[in-house]
Amino acid sequence: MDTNEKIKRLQLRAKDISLPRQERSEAQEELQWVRFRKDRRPVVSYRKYVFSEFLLNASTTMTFGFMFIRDMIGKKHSDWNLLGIMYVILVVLSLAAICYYSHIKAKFKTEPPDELSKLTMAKSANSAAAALFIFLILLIVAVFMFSRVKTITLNGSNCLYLLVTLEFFHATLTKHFYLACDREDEAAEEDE
Amino acid sequence: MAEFTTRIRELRAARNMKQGELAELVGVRRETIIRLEKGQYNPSLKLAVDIARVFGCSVEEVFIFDED
Repeated sequence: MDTNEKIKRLQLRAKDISLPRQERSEAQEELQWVRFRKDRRPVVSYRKYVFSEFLLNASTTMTFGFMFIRDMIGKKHSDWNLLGIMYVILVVLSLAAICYYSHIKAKFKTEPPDELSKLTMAKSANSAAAALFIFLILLIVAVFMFSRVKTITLNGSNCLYLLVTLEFFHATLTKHFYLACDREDEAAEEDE
Repeated sequence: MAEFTTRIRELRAARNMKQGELAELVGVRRETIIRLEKGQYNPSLKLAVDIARVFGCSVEEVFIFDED
């Protein structure tokens, strides 16, 4: 069967709502692999792709986290000082992470996640959610402690920064736990 | 609790097949094949059947369960 015909057939199967979810999911997976084999770009491992996502999420978390803290404690130190320099560094790091991620996505084809990768990622997401929950409790305790200090303010602006920070923090933790669980065992390398 | 061992490495060597080649045939990453060979991962039924089909064996001949 021609590859393009196979892709069309799999696309139809993946969107056919009369089929069970399991069959549609399997068709979607097979479609990813067929497209992967058809793509002639050099391969990048799924692990490396997740690492690029980790860098992007981590830099975004730090940037928005910094903006949240800066917005919360007031803008007394808003001119060119240590906080300003830190902000510039974080923005540069974020831009570098965006460039690296875009480079990976554009120049390479990523191997699709297989069942073990999906299982590991799901477990990592659960662990990240638990860690985030603990972090939120600690944050609430800290807010109550610092609420007596007049320089601490909470408004719609810094709450938005906080929400974005927490969202990317969860994504960062998920990727971190995945990379930790999916360590490559060099001893298992075959002699080529 | 039943544990299992795999003959994947042995069957691969008999067919002069690399881990990457087997991984591509069954649609998984090479790391998954490595973990299967080391007994660190229980495959899904579909993956077990796909691997057995590649070797032309039954699932029981590829994955050997050791009952306590």
